[in-house]
Amino acid sequence: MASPQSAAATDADLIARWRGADERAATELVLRHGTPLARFLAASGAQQEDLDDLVQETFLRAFRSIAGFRGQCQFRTWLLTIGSNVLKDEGRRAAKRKVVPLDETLQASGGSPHEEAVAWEAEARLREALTDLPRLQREVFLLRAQQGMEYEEIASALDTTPGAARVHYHHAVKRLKERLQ
Amino acid sequence: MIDDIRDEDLHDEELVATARELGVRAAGQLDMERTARGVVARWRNEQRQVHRPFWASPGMLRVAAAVVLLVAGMETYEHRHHLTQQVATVEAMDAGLEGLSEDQLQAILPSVEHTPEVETTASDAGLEGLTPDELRSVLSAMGS
Repeated sequence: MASPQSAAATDADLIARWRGADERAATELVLRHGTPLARFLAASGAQQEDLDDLVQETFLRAFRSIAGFRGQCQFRTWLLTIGSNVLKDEGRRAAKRKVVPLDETLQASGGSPHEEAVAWEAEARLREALTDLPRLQREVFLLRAQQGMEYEEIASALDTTPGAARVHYHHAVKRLKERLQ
Repeated sequence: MIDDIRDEDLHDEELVATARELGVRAAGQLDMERTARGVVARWRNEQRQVHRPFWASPGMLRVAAAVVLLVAGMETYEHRHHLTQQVATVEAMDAGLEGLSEDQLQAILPSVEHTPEVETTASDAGLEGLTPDELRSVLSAMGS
């Protein structure tokens, strides 16, 4: 779907084209950032059956308010924070999460059944523990550990300081380790 | 507080490795091209609604319906209120009965019932057909 030109385009180029009502730019942005966003939402407690709708809603909100995006952080970081708000607004927290049968999860991946089961269990416990964290700690943890972002970038997205982001991350790690031991 | 945090507290290989795997399967089950088409379709639909004539928007139609109901309700209320007031005023003022007790009203009632009969008799009789003697007797009766 992406043309050779758009593959090389930066997010800023695509956003500028989208502001000019170029729908292909919107498609390109979704293709580029949709999967990390879906992973972030899933890790934050979104249910599988809601994931597609949540991703779409997040992009729509982002496109509606794209005029307010001044490049203070990366587009993806901004998008993930919008996704977090969408998830909160939709009330689809992990507390209401349906337990996914183990078989269904394992069907989607390769590897030996034992390895997959161990990995699945570790992920399930971490997801569970994440839902018990305060929202800010969870967001900082996921942006840092799952998305690999720097504290400066996280701080810009969450309107805080890098030092405060570091403290939130520290608390998140400490609590998660306690929960997972 | 920030200085108290040791780097080893912030780093946990296993935790980060697990975190990196979070949501990978769930996201992998999405068809991102389909999702992108969905986003664009929903955006177009929103834009169509935004560019609809001002008066045809659902919000405006709801407001218009509410205004019509409100005006109709006010008209009905005013009409009924006005009628009630009119009847009460006419009854009270014509009879000059405001301020009277029930007993006083009961006492007046026979004379009210009687009076129209006399007046009606006189007027309905037609004086033009009476002889001078008859007229004189009527006048003397009225004078008494």
